[in-house]
Amino acid sequence: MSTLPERMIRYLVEVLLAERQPAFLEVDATGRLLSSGGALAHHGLTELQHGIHVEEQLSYLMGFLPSPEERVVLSNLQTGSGACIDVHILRDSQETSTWVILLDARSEHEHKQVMQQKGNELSLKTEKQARVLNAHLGKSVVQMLLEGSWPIRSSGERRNATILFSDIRDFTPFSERSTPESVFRTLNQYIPAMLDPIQEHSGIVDKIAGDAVMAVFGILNAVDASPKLAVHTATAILRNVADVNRLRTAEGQPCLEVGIGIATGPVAVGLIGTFERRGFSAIGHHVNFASRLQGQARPGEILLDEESHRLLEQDGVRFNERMLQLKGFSNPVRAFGLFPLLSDAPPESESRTKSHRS
Amino acid sequence: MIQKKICMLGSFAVGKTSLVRRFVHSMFTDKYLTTVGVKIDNKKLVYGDKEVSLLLWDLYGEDEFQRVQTSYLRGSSGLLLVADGTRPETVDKAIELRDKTVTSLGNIPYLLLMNKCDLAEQWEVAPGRLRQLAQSGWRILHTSAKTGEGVEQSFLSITAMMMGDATK
Repeated sequence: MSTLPERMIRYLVEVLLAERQPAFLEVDATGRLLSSGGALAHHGLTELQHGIHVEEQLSYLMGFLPSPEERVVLSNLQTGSGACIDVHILRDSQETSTWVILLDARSEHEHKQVMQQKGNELSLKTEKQARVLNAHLGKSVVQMLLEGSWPIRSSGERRNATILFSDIRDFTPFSERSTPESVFRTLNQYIPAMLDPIQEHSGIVDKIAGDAVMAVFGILNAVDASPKLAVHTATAILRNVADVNRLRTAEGQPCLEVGIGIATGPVAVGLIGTFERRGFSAIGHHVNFASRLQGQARPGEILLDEESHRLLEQDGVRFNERMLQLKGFSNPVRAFGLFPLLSDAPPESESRTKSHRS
Repeated sequence: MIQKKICMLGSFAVGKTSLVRRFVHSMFTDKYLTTVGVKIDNKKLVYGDKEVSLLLWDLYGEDEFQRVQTSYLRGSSGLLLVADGTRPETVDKAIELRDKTVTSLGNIPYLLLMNKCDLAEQWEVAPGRLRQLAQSGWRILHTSAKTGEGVEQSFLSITAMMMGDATK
């Protein structure tokens, strides 16, 4: 930087002195006050006693003297009575004493306060919006929408996807004999146990309908194929439900089980609703198919359609095949069941099942 | 008289200033006013047969634009890490700040204050998360600067810990 003319330096020093009202304390190596000067009265320091420890006179300097560092700056210290100061602590080159410089910081503080207040209020609002959106759509969906990288056309398109339905078994009779508080407390234990794994495995929660959850896999980018993601999700759901049940058993509460249906195939996906309020939705035969399979799944069972099973075959997971007559389907369909939390699959009904190893 | 410096640390708008205000002045206001720099307050109390002067450093909340300068922490004997139960990310911030202070201050007594317990119905921090933290050695107290719940207890607990009594 080129040298400033002397007149300018004098002027800047005058401005600085008037605005910042510097005062100084010289402190010896043991922390005692050696000398002081400058605008002490401006900082309310009219009763300083030389030879006495500075920390006893200015408690906010506790731990700072003598300074182990060459230079410490503490900005915007509000020490009561509306005062706001910057404190610069400098060790002299001989290391025999420390200089404490006090500068009035009120004007800078007021300016910073306005800016910071606006910034923080905005951040709080943004955080809240993000939390609400995440809670309704899932973090990855919100992130994609915000980044403009939502992977499907809002107007709708046909995609190959895997649909998962998970439903709490016998919830309706439970809700009829329980208080509303107990019903919602129970739902708020089981539903998160189903939602968390969906989001962890790149699924989109399509809807939560009372005691059932529908999710779609294969829309968000993921390394694994969608049936695999859905089966991993279903297994995690069953584990979470087992954890909830352990907790409820300890509390003396009745335990509930879930059944899960999974189907893979082409579905129409898009956004439904008004411009102000709309949500992702998947529609088509395979949505109904997954729902029907879920209806047939026994407590603790994951029931797959043939296509999901075919795409999983190389994984060597052992499923039990059975033929099912589903409502709305003219012919019996092949379905593949798995009880991932049991070491052995339970006995199948003789008339409609046969053992199957894939 | 024994003098102890306590730093209030946490994300912005978790209620650090309100907790100090409630403890020192028995006052509370709903209006959020951000702290710039540090507010220093003093409160004397009697611990056993000793008089203790607490020097409370209420530091600005950390956010993505401003990090807490560790030089402010020098001379601290205890930390009150504050989180807002309605904002789960503030628990992460409290953990991050605690890790940061270990580097500069070593292992000094600390407590996690889960503030805004008057808004318990709006809390979004999973109880399991707090159980996990407690299992890993964190002492957690629930506070409300609004109602005063747990506030005095928190400052008394950290004082006891600083005085070498971990059972309080």
